[in-house]
Amino acid sequence: MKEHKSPLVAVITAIAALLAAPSALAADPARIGVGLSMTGPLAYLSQQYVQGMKAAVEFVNKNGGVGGGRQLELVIRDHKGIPSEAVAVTKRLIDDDKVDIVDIDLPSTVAIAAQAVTKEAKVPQIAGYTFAPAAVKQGNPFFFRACTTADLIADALARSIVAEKGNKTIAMLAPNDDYGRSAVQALKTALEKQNGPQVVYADFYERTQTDFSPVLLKMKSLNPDSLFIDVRWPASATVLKQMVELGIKKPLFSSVNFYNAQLAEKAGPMLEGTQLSVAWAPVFTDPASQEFVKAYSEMFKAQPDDSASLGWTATMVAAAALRAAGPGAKGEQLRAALSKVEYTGPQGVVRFDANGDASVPAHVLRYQNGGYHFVR
Amino acid sequence: MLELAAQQVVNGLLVGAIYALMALGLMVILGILRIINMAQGELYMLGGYFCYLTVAKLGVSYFPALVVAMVLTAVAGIFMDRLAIRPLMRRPFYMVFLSTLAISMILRNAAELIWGPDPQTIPSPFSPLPIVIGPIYLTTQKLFIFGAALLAVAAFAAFLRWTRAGMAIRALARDHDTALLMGIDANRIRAITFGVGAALAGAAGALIGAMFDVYPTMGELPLLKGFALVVMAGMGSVAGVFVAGLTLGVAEGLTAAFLSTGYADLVAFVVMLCVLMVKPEGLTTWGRSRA
Repeated sequence: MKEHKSPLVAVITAIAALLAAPSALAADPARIGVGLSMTGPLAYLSQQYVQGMKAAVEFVNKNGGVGGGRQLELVIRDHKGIPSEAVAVTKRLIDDDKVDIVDIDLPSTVAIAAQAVTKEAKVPQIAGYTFAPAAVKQGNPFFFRACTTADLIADALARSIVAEKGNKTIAMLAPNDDYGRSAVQALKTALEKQNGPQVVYADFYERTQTDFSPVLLKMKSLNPDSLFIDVRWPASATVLKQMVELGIKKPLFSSVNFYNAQLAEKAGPMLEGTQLSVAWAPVFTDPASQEFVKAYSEMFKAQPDDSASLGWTATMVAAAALRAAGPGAKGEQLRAALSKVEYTGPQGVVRFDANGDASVPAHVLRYQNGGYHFVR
Repeated sequence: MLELAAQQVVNGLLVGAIYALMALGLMVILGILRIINMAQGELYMLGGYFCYLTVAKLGVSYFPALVVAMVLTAVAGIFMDRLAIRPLMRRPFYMVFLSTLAISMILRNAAELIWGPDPQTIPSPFSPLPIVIGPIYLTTQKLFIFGAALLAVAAFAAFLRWTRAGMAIRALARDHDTALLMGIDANRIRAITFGVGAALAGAAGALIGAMFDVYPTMGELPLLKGFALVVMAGMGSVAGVFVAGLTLGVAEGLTAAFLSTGYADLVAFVVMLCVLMVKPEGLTTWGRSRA
């Protein structure tokens, strides 16, 4: 039987409901839509990145949220590292999840692909893990890169490569995607600028490749003085193992792909002496790093890594923009707020230029005696 | 240059033996049951995980764990057939194809849920240090894998040739209707065929898993390479598939050495397309009745 209520009862009930939950109505949460490669070869980096984001959300919400009583929320979706899937995920985050800002990362190609959607929808897109130089050259005023770039990473690493004694030739291997090709090109340019060693060989491996013996044998046959091997986890462990199997012992240079606690645990002795460029490392002791490490360690009972720090910074920058733009701000207002953000994060100062690029500096570490140590 | 080529040939032979093992599993299912089994890569993945769990969690040593992995993968293959393929056998072939594709997705995602996306290492008793013979660098693990793959292929060939079940499989492949009239129990042979095909994939996964770790997506590429080999070799002799596997492994190694490692996969599929155009039935056949 249908229940009938008098209008007075209905009004009183509605008022009571409003009084009972004032904050819920006054402050819908601000949402960051996150598209990452939660499965596939970039899953490890994506998971670390998400943990950094979660630590930042917790930190922001504990400290009053993003203004107007609003809490910060993440909506996380998996694009598997595939650009077409990233486009679909971005649309879903904007159309269905109604997020305020999106962060589509890992690898750079997905951040570039997603820009077609964010530009048309006029939704700000922040990138915390997109190093490819081309990412800020898509003519998208809604795109903001809050991390370092392949060029800056290459410059930092090139200095270490040049400083290696007797290093006259180098062979390179990187992933066959936008990130890998950008990394090799940027390193070649940086080495040329710094009169560094001659690049005698550069090759690119496919995402699904598991056996690196053929390419390592090719590198070995050329007898270079040093190697730049930028191979992602878990293939990075295989490469190190196969280098031992093939008797290859050369000064090794790499990227953040070799900055990985699991890799160190699995292939530590083979990693000894390797120098790698990173955006951040726990060895940094500046106040922003300390704040990040404290928040992260409290939440996850573990030490954060480079990827987590990038997730933290992207979220903190997005939170600063949401706070500055105020409740209800969307699209253009949020874009304007983001363009004016100045945030000092663990990696350095994030301040966007006219292209939406923060050009945060990169650093170099050396793996020695079972740990990563700061070089420059 | 010669040293590089020699090392690439040796390395290619080792890799090719594994490709052949994977392809034989596909060939027996495709040749007898006419099923394009898209979940064969996941059977390969299960073989790797079964071996990992047996060694790392139950403390069994690596060698008996290989046999355990083969047996468990065979059981998984038979279950897969019984639950998701056999009920569709009177439907159009594309429904069976889609069903195996669905199983592939389900198994891969289930593996991610259960074991996570991170790779797991199978503890193996092999030394990482190389054995150096002139310009050739080998490891005991690679030699073992080659020997084990060779043994598995030989055992499979012997099974087909000398056992009653093997003869029944060959009879069904040669002339399905006549074989049934001769009293062959098609359902039993079907289960055996699926079990054997799955066990071969499981063996390949367990052997390779010990070298390159096990993870949910590990079956993607071997599946494609396996299909390429089956197309190249045809539904024919075990030796044909084995030789095609070795040839592919060597061709890939030489491509990586003298062209680019990124083009290594291209070789498999270019050769496959060429064979399809020139000799669509493959280089060898079961000798199926064309009547």
